[in-house]
Amino acid sequence: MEKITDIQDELKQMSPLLSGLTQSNLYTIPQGYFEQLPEKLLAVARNSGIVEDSNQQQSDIPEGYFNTLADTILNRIKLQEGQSEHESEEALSPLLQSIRKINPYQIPVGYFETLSLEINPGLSDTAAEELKKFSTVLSVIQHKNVFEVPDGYFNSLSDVIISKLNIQPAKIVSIGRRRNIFKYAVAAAITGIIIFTGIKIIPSRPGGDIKPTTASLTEIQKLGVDLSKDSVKMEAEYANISDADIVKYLQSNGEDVNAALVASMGDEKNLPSSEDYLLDDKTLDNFLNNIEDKDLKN
Amino acid sequence: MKRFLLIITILTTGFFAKAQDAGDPDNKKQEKLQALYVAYITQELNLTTDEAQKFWPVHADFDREVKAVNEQDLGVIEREQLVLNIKKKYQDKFTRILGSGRTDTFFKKDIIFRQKLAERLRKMRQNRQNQGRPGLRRG
Repeated sequence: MEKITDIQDELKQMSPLLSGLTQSNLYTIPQGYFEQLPEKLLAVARNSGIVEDSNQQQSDIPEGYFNTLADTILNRIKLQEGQSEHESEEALSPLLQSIRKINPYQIPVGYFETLSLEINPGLSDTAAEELKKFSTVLSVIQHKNVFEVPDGYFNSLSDVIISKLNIQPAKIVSIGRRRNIFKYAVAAAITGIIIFTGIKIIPSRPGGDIKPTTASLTEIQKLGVDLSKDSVKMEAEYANISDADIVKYLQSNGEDVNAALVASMGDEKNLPSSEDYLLDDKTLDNFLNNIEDKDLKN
Repeated sequence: MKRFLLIITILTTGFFAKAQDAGDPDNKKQEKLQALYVAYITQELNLTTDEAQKFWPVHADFDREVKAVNEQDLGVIEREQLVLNIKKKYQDKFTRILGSGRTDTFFKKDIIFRQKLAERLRKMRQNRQNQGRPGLRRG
């Protein structure tokens, strides 16, 4: 191994003595020193009286000592515990200690055999006697089967009952047909529900479901209105439309029908002036008559 | 199952078809009046097929909104204001299809159609009244 000079220098600074020592073991022992050491130590101990001779010690132990050693130790422990329990009980309750191992509750001999009779002498009756008291009939027939049937009664019973019932042969209905009827019934029920719902949903107000402005030109033509400019005959188209239809249409378009009627009477110029009303009570009647006449001329 | 569905379909269709056929005659008349309105406006505005295809769907929305307002229980001024708001709202949409001039014409003709109807109503009533009072003819 090489010396590390730095460590050597450091050691030299710390302890010149140590650094001067060579790398050799200072502690040396003679050859075989440890092999003889126990014997030497034992001999010294014997001489000083600390340890007795082993041969002499073995002779002091009785024969079979270790066989009974465990039992001996256990017995001693139990004895000590028993003593300590006894002492603690005595300390807690001297009275309990004094009556220990004596049963304080004692009953005379045969006490329970006669107890029931002492409680209720009536119970001494046997079951048979008791039954006799309640019902003599039952006591008489108690072990007898009173229900008897003739031999083979149950073998022919079902035939007898059927013959008495006079059952008509059941009408045979094919399964397929039943299923068919059921199918129609369900279909009818569902249809009913659909129709009922439809009636409820469809608005009852006349004209309520009309969306006329969605009418396409084709639909208009379908309704019989001719749109070709040369042959428009609007007047003819109005022919089938009644008074009530027009009123309904105007109302549905937010028109006040009465106001519209008055407005349609004509130009305001032709209306009577306020003075006319003052001069003649029948101004309005005359005016209306004039309008009617004019309309008739048209 | 297919047969079952078929039965239901036939029964239901039959009912609704019948309901349609026997539909309220009043509704037919209302539809006819509306068709006359469409015819009148189409004619007055000189709508081409292309314009009509664009115009009437927008008009349908316009009409729905106006009718919704008319169905409400409102005062006259309030109702007119709401209708006017709707007209203003749709003015741009109509202008894009018809141009501003014809949009104005549309709003005028829309009113005139109903005025014409009112006039017709008045005449119908007068005629009926006169038929009941023939003496007036002499005056």
